Amino acid sequence: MMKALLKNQWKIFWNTARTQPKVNYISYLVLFIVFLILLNWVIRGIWFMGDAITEAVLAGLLSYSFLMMIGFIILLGLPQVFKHLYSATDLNLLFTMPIPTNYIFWIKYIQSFVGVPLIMFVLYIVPLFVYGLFAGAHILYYPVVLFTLLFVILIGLSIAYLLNLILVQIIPASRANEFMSVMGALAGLLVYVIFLFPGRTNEAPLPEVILSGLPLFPDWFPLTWASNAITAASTGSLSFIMPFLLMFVLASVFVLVTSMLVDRGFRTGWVKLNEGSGKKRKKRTAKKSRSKLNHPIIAVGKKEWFSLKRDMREWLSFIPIFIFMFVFVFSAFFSGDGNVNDLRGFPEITWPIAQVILLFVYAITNAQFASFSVAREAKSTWILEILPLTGKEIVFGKLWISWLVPFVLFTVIELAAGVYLGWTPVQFIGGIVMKAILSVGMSGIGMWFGAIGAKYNPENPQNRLRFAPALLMMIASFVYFFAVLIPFAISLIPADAAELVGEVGNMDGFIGTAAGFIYTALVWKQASATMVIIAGTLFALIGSFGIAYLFAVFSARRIERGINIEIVQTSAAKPLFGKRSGGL
Amino acid sequence: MGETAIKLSGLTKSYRKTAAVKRVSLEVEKGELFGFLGPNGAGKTTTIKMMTGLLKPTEGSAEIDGIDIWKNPLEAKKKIAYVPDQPNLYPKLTGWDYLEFIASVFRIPRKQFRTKAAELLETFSLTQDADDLIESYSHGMKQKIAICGALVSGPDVFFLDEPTVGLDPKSARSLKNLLREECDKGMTVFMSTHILEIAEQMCDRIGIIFSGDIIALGTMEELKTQGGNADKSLEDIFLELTGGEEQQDIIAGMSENGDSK
Repeated sequence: MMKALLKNQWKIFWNTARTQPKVNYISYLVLFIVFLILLNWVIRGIWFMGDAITEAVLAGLLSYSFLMMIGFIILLGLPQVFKHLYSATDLNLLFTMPIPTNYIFWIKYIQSFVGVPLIMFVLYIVPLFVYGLFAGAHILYYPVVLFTLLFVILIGLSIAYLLNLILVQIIPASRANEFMSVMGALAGLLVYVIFLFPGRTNEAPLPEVILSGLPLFPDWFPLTWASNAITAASTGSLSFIMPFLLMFVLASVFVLVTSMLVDRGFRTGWVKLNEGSGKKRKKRTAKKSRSKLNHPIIAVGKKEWFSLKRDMREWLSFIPIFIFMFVFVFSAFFSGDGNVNDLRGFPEITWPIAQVILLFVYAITNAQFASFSVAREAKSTWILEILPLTGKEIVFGKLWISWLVPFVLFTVIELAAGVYLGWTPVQFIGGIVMKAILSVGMSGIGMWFGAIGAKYNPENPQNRLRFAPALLMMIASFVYFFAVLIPFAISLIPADAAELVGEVGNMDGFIGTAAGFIYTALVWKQASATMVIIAGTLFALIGSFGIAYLFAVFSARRIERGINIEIVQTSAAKPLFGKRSGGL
Repeated sequence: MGETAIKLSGLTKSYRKTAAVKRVSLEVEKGELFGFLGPNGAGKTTTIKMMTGLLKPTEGSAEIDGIDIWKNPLEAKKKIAYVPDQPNLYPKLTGWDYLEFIASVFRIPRKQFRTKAAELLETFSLTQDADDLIESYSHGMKQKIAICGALVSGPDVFFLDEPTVGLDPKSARSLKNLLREECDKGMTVFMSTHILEIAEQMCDRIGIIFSGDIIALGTMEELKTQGGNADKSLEDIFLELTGGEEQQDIIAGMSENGDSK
């Protein structure tokens, strides 16, 4: 039975590989070359630094790299495991056949192994073997490395499986669509916590601890066992046996616990996710009395809003922004002995810096959010195409909602930050109005890139822009960001703040560069404030609305000519006249 | 001769060197229920997509009430409605939201919309599901809400691609009755189907497309008399026209065996 299943998997794999679009082969080749370069770089590093790697340093390095390995397997493997366990199309067939659930499960487990874990395995074993050769390691070293790596991978993969098998029993079936995205977010969080662990157990910075040969983790920590087994084996010491056996037992326990959850977590989980909420439909009459018809532009935006607010996945595009705002920005401000309270009561400093950060956040969010609205149509494009809507009506409909959602979201954050930091009402109103104006242009730019580079991947709804347009859009957003900083600064920051901002401008990095721009503008303002404010505001208004309108018109033309949403598919096999792209 | 609702002139669609639809010319009169038949891959959906502005013809034109859909798409689209064979609708809209959206685009007065929408939802037994998300609908329900959305605007010309696939018998009957009623009131229906029985019962005229060519066109009576098929059903005529020699032999053999029994 297992043999038949494995053979079937192999045929599927082979046929999938055989029928790939040609462009995919090129991508694989590029990826393979990158992989080789990476591997070569690591090997060279080892050869170069080999002498400096003492046994203690090697132990630290191994512990930390095993932690990274588990982290990556969880991060990248968690959503993959979900796909294999619950959304694979073959499960429908397999569950109707007389195949024990366990067999299906183990096939999926093996399938999951070929992927991220396998790449990690190669990426680890080659450098470790190279190090062994360089350091003249004992013959025991090689099998111990091989098996220890396998144990670590099994532990990582089992954690990914366990999380899936447990969570599927908790999360309501009505949220099945969002489950995978939540899994991705959860994996990120988990890995973040994992990587915090070494920092929590040591006072000194991590590289310092590793290079000094100090133990990274306590002795009871399983990854210490793995590194101890390898370091002991490298010298031919039989003391490798105990930690090696402990790793073996731990990996076996993980695999055993995972297999124990198969029946409840896998089969019933799959049934649960596929049968829907199980709730009886509430019988009710349609909300006729509340029906409201709108102008077509409003109707298009309203339809977008419904899709946004009812799909948790849509909001995940904001996660990187929040990570940027709360992790990077705050850590940049408050590293060392700094305290957030120190900044309270200095609105003349905090306000301009916050404005630059917020404007930057708008720059990376608005364009992306607007661009996604085109590919959001996915396979429903025919509806807009069949309706008597002009390209402009479609574009402006999508534009207003793509602008409004981030605006409301970030304004709430700005208000909270402003109240805490003690900004004046003029600062509040000025900043919000100015950003409201400037962000329109960003959304307009994004809309056009969405129109020319829309892509829809049913398996990854966040992936909505082709690579080249996405890259160009990012560049365009940053160019726009720096261009609009000038009128922004000219209009809103008081001229006498020039010196203060100038001091900030002396700082290195992004904040310093941004402050440098503002400083130059403020020097102009000292000469003629009124004229400069008027000119700046006008420039911002004309610039932003002009750009938004221009790009909206381009987008509308593109849409009227008919745009293609590239529907991502894994196979090149297609019917003779089958359309592969959705058209709008 | 009545007013022409649909006029196809030399409509052609080629993909590289292969022609999917070859210089199709036909006219459908106002109020007519036209059945468009053909085997799989014959060019039915391609033709309908060209008529609805979803696919650009390589050559020729498609006119709706005298308006070329590719020269004046907006005006033409104001007159048509379309339900594809696979109605991919907005999953995160409720049935009612979807109808509201369509009505907003067509700028239908609110009162008229409410009455019409309620009537259609009732006809297709969707009243109690209208506030559920479309993603929770079955294939048949999606098909029905797509039909409601198409009819809520009161189109002059209604295109349907395999409309009865996925519909339960009651809804299929409701659809047949509704289409007949609407055609009697002046709406034109252009419908592709595989179910020959439906075409035979419902359609005023039938067109058969095969490998991109219209190989038969006329009323049921005309089709029967054209090839001396007076005593044959539409199924017989269809198979005779579209089946290959081998298939015809099999069919003939089967009928002979059937007769002998």
